[in-house]
Amino acid sequence: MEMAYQVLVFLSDPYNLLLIIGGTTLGVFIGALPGLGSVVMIALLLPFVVRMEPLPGIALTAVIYVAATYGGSITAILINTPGTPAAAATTFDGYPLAQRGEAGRALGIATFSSATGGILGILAMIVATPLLAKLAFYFGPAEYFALAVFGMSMLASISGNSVIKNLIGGAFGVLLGTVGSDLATGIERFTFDIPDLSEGIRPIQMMIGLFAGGELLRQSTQLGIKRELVADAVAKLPSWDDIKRLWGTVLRGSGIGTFIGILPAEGGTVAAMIAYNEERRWSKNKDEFGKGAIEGVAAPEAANNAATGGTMVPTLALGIPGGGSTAIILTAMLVLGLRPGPQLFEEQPEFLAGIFGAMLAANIYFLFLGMIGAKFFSRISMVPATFLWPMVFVMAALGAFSVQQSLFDVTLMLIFAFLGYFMRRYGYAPAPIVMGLILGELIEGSLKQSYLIYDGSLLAILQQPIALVFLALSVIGISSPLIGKLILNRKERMMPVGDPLDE
Amino acid sequence: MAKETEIDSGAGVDPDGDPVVQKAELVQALIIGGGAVGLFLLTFTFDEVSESLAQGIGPAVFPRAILLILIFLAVLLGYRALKPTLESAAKYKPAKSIPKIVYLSAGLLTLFVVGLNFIGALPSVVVFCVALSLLWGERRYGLIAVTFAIFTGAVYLLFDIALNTNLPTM
Repeated sequence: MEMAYQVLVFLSDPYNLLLIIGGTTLGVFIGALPGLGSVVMIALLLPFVVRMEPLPGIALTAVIYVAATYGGSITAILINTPGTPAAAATTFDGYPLAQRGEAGRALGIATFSSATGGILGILAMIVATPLLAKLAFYFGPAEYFALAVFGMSMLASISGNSVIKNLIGGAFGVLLGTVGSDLATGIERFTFDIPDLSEGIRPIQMMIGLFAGGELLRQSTQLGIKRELVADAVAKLPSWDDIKRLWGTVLRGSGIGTFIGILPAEGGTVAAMIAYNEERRWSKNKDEFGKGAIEGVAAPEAANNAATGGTMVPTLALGIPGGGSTAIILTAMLVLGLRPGPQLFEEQPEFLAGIFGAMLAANIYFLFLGMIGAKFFSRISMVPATFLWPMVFVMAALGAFSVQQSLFDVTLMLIFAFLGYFMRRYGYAPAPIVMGLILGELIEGSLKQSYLIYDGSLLAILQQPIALVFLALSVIGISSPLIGKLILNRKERMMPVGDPLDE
Repeated sequence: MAKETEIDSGAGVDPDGDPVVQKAELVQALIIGGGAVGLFLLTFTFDEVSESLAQGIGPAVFPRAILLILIFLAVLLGYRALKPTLESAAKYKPAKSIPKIVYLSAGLLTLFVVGLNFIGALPSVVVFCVALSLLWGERRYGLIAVTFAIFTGAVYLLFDIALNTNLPTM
């Protein structure tokens, strides 16, 4: 009840409402622009957010995250190009639906499923976050060390990329976290006598460079790609028959999305793909998938938006980011002096209520915005890259400069822009670096504390039950791709020759 | 316009269907492994900790542990490149040269950052936006002029006036 009251207090402030409306509109706009997604946008906004009051600043990033995740579906359906990676699965059936003249129906279903999934994900977040945070009361350095290792181990199971490359990215991020003066001794590490590096790699500049700068260079190779709007449609509210047909799909997608979202390092993209595959696997009309099945739109859209709530759970409760966007939101929280965890719930319940309220309101608002504005947002995707990206880079560079008014920061951002491009080109996702940078500090700090607490015996960490569970889960997490392969090989061997493998 | 040119088609499988060495992956493994070894050696040049502070884990221990993990992962990457499975060979995409447009764009980004120091922020914004737009093939000169004039004004209002940032000047 107390929480509901505080949510209402937050939403009754006109400034907050304006922020939600503006942030949601901007988020859908950004989501509809291929190449710009919530990760790039939140990274670009970081220099501004860290100047705001903590609650409105973080609420704005959360709202953009929610709205951009939905916005990606509009272009996925109308131009066969997902605005965000999380909407990739929506193209499989959304675009065929649009091609056969049912773009309005597909958009309506995507909007309805996204909003429903998003709201269910946030309700789960409201319940799960305080519970998980209470668990954190039992956490000492050993448990935090094991939890952070578990978070890193989950990088191994992110689908779509090489396990080794994800782990290399994560380890590189951890290493970047060691640059600067060692907190305990003041000894400089990897600073190369550059005074600006004494305080370490600045995460804001690093993220702006990796995500926005790297993407600009990638976009320079995409200039020849022509995008065609297959339909100029207005979203149509799903019919009663469609709702009856889809309610189970939306609930399943929301469940999968919330669960996948809660797992550290996973996120909306993984959730949407799994939800799509599961829906197809259990569907009576498997053949329709890929040709314009409405379930193929509803499942991934419900899942990727439910995952936005899910990913916030470990972020707020434990300080372990649930994905790329939440890693940047967590960075903003830390820069603003907020430490996620049980203390945050005890000392600032109004902060969490505000975040919950903002995300809920954003889902409700984009339901209306999507219904009336899909036609407008689909046209935004046609903004030429020749105008958009020069402006994005200027905002990135001056944003990086504005935090400490330092040209060194702009140079740092530029170096990470080049790194971001090369990483993506050779199959290294940039998100693991950010995860590594954030979790690396936690790993090193808690390891050093544990060493002192247990008189130099790090094996004592294994005697802590919670830590042991997390470390065991880490081993499973790292070996999960291997285990999956072994199971598949075994299945193949047991299958009679000639039998087709189940997709 | 910016099509990537293929220069290495020797990856994947050979004419007999056997997987062949994945050169691009091998080069990555060598760069990562070599860099990690270099940084590992660098940790031995860190300043000594004074005796009064020499408790617990020293400042070089954690970076060394991470670098050892990186070296191990680079070795794994290299091994997989030398002995790829049929499955990875099938997925392997041949290395392609980096398109010229990427180098030119990267050069412009660098010039913009250098320009901030020498000609100031607002002139750099104008020159950079117009140059990148033209480089990327935009030829609607009127639209370029209007769009970037408005944008530069917006940048000034946002950073200089609203955020009170002392943007670099000439």
